[in-house]
Formats: sequence, C-alpha cells, structure tokens
Amino acid sequence: MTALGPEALEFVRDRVIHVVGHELRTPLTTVRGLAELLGEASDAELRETLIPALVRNARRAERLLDDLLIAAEIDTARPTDPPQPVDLGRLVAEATIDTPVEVEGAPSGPVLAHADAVAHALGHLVDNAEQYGDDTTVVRFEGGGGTVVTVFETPVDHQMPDLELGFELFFRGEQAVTRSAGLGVGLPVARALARMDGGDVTIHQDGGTVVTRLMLPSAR
Amino acid sequence: MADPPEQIDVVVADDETDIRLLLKLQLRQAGIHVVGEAGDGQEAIDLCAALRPHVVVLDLLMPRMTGFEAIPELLERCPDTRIVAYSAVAGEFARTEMARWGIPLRLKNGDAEPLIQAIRELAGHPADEHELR
Repeated sequence: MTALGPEALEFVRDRVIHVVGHELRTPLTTVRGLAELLGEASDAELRETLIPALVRNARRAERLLDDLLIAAEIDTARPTDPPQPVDLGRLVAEATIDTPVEVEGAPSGPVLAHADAVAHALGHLVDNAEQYGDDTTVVRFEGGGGTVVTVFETPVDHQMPDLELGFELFFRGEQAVTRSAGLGVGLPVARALARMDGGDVTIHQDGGTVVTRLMLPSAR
Repeated sequence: MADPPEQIDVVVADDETDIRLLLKLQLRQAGIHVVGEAGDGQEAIDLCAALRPHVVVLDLLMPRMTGFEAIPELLERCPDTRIVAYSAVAGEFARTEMARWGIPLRLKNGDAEPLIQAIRELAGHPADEHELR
C-alpha cells in the first residue's frame, strides 16, 4: 500500500468528516425535530405518523455507526453469538420491497449466518443497485459446493471504471459528494459482513451488466 | 414593494422523505402553508413554475439535479419565488455560492426557527420581536 502524503491525508480526512457529517445530520435532524413535535402532538393520528418516522431515523443513525465500526474493522460491531440457519429468500424479499429490484426464483436452502448482518449487507447491495443502475436490477440465486450465492444483475449503459475500487472505503464512484446520499462504504461493509460469516462479496462487469455476488455458506 | 401575502405558500425540495415530513409539520405549526414537495432540483423547478409559491426551501445536495444546479433555472423561470437554501452541511463552497446568488443559507438541524424566520423575511413578513434570536 502506498503511504499518503500530508496533503492527501488532509483531503481524505476532510472528505470523510464532510460525508459522515452530512449522513449523520439527516437522521439526527429528523429525530430531534420529530421528537419536539411529538412532545406537543395531541392527536393520535399525528403521533402514529411521528413515532415510526422517529424509529426509522434512529435506526438509520444506528446503521451509520455500525457501518463505520465495521468498515474500520472495530470488533465491537461483530456479533458474539454463533451463526444460525437464516431464511435468505425472506431477507432478500424484505430488502427489495418498494425498490426497482426484481427477485427471480428462490435460494436452494437456508444459509448459516447472522440474520441482521445478512439483512444489513443486502440493504447496501440493493442501495447500490438503485443508485448506480440504469434499469431494473434482477436478483437470482445459485447454489452448490456448500455455498448459496445471491446474484445482483444491474444493467448499466456504459463501462464502469475499475469496479474493484468500490471496495475502498468512502469511494463513491461517479456519484460526486455533492449529488447523492451515502457514506461510500456500502461494498466494503457488505463484504466485511459476509466475511464475518465465512462468505464474500465480489463485483464485475459483464457487457452491459454489473454482476454483484453475495456468497454465504449453506446451512445444509 | 408589494404587500406581504396573508398566507405564505412554500414548496419544500429535499430528497429525504422524512425531512420533507418534518419540514411540512414544522412549517404548518408556524402557520406557513406547504403547497408542494419536490424530491430533486428538476421537480422543484417544475413545481415552482406550476404553483408559484412565495418561497422554495431548497436542499442543496439532491440526486439527479442538485439545488446548486436548479438555482439558475429557478431564478429565470420563477422570478417571483424566493429561494432559501437548506443544507445538512454548509462548507465554504456552499456559503460562497449562496452569497454570490444572494440566497440565504440555513443549516439543516432540528431547530426550524432560523429557517422559518428566513421564509417570513423572504415573503415580506418582518420577524416579530419575540422571534428575534
């Protein structure tokens, strides 16, 4: 690895602080504002709107913290309980609700993993498909050799430069920092989560399709 | 200068659904009427052209078309709609650009009062004394 000079380090530090600040500000702003409104809300209908939004944004801030800890390989983010058989098909269905991602078929069986970690990794892969895809992403499943693979096939209309860079922390591809949400840790975090359970994430381009593969050990 | 409107109509442009929900509730509580919601710069332009609000609250960082990119067309197509920029982070670039355009910039945090005050001032409603901070 090439060492960065002081100017490059300062640039990276400023970028990271900027992006983390932006991404944390949104859920924290919402939590504070909604909590204040909730304190004054008297009608039940308004409370029913505010409470799920509060939980959703608190969870989003929590996910950001998890992402940073996992990305930095800090062990406090790693599960301490053993992996369990996980219904991968259900998690994929939940991760793709209300998204332009279509699921074809079903996995050959459960995977041996941590359900929260798999859901977290799937969330990042679905987010990437939404942000970078030019059309509907199709998810299908492959199996064999003790591994269950969830394959994301995302149509793109041009050559994506060096997709492996996506595994670098805070890399945001063509999405400039001024344009899109996200820390730029989706792929490295998804890979780190998969590897915690003995799996992996890979990405490559095959013509007009970016193929992302989430591999997890089969529970069978 | 025209008389201030009795009711202030606002379009809120932010790609975050929950930020739009929060702003709608906070502005409604302040007696400001949110007449439309946009999820990117182009939607903001189209809505402002159609609805002619007094003020548009414009997030600067949005997908597809950012607030920065939307400003020139908003100024051209909707000259009666005033703009207040609203951003989660306000770096040197954002501050300089907004100063250049003469557009007030408010930081997106849980305290809506600075934003509400800016909207009232843009719509020609001077701040009440008790609102000064």
